[in-house]
Amino acid sequence: MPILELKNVSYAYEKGKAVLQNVSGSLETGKMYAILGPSGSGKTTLLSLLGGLDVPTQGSVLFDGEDIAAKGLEHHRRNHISLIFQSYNLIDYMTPVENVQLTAKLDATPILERLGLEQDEITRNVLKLSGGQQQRVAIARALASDAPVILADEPTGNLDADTAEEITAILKESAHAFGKCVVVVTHSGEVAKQADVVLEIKRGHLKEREM
Amino acid sequence: MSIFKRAFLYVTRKRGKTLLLFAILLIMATFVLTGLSIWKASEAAQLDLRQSLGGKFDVFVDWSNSPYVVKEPVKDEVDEETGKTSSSFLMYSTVQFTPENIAAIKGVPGVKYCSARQDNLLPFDGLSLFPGTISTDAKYQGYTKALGVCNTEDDELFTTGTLTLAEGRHITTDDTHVAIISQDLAERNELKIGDYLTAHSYSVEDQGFTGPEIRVQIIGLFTPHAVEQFGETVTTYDKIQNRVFVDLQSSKEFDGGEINYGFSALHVTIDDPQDMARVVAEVKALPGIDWKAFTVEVDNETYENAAAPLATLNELVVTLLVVIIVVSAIILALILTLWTKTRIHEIGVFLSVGIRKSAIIGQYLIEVLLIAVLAFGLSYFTSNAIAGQIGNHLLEQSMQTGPEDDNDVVSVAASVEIGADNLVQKPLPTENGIQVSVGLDNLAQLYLIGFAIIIVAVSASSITVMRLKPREILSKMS
Repeated sequence: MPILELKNVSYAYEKGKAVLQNVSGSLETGKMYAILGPSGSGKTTLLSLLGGLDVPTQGSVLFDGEDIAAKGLEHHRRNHISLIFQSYNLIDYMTPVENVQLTAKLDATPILERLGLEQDEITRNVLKLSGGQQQRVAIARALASDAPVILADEPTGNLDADTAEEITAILKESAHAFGKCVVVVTHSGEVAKQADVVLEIKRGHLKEREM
Repeated sequence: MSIFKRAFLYVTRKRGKTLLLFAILLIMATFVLTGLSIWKASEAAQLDLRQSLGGKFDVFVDWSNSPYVVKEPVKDEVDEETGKTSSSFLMYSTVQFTPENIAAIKGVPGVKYCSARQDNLLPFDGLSLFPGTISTDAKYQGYTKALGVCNTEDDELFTTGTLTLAEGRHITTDDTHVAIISQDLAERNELKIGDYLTAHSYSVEDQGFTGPEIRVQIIGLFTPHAVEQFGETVTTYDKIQNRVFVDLQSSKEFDGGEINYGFSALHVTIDDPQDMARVVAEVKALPGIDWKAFTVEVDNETYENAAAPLATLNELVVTLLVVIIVVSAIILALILTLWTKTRIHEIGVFLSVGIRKSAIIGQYLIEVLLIAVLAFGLSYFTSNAIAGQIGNHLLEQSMQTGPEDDNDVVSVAASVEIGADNLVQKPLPTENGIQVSVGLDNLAQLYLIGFAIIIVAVSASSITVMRLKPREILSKMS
């Protein structure tokens, strides 16, 4: 049963210059999706539409069969979606555990420990953690919010290969072990290889790629 | 995480910004609180000034326009040297103030005292007077002033403290054939309370006090606050120690006729000079007084002169307060706008996790309020330290910028005179500066004004960022 659906979604920054054209598709829980495409192809735009950060020019985005605009995008962001960014986007005056508690519906500490952070690291200044550790905190925040959908925009873009592999594994585990619908926008073929489904955007159209 | 916890974490973790904002708010609060306390002190000083000076007005027979003024010729006098005959007239009003009129005026709200006197210059039998410093006509040697009153307690010489009742009691409306004299005069003549003074009523025929004998009993002794200075000129009958206060009935008998049955002038003192117009209007509306016979002369100049520097100070402080509040709001809004722009990343994160814009603005507001609570509290002490000095400096400026006549307010007040009686004046509030102290009421006002400034500043500073869509904010982040 699809949790997120795109129905004939189009998006244009300016009239006549469409980034997405009549895109349709569905995303399910328990799976990790990778969205590939060249720069400027509309990957992040698609993620923004799925996350309720923007509205399509045409068409609609459905969550559990209901248009996300019906109850408000803020409601959608707060209850259905967790976002993970390339630059981690942690709050610099909060410790890792406080960052996770920001929207946590679950206990923050066990999640952070499960993602590999030590006890002394979760109460340290968040900026004193390594890039990999910061991205783990961001993923922990997404998991602790207990949202069914995790949208990640280039989550491994700033990480070395080994750490990127670890983070990708965590995201995959989030889909498989926690039953989340994980959507990852990436340039990385390695990340795409780990995905259950790979979607590609070409000239404004979304297509599933055979792996 | 609650909005309060987020705000608390920001304030405690971003110590540099917190300290800077604390310093800015402390300076602003100190200025606002100082302004408020000076304003309050200025208002209090004005009230004090009004109460100390009071207001005065005189009501007297309109000798020029009253239809009740009568002019009667009296017996012609022949000059012994030249042999020429001179005619003289007796002028009086058939409508005069009665004790009932005085009681009615005293009942008007805001009237403090209402006094009236009948003056008679007459000799008392065997009374030895203190000599004056200037000689008088031989005819008037041995004469003194007998002041006929309804009530000595309300007489201006007593209400101003120029005279004090040292022994016995005051003359009241119900008294007849009683007197109050000075303690010095009593000692000089070996008189005491209960003794009698004897005089004679005026005879128009004889042009002198040759009429029937009138005895008045001494019921009180007064002491003057001060006597005339060395070198000061005063006649025997004007010397303060020689004054004799008598009741109205005795005064009328001394006068010897039916013409002066009441008073041709009243002196009214009111509590608050600001109420002058209302009190005068209410007095004029009283029944039983025929206003065709009388005219009113208001004396508010002393108050107006003395109040001018305080009024100027008040205007100055109000203007300064408005400027301080507006400038504070602008400065705070500018600083917070700059800081909000540096927090765009944080706003993006909050929006992406579903925190409402209103909750984000609320957090910023709570952060500033948390710091403000401490800064405003500390400003109580900083304002207390400087408010007095600034207040008196402003007062000096106000006195210097006032009209030239206002320069010596104290001397203006001290120069008030009624006839030959130099009245004792209390020191004015402006004499020793104003007493500025920061009160808890000022602090409460500061919190109200300060919080209003902060709400305006935070709202204004958040507008630009909050108008952006979440996606635009996230684009700015990246």
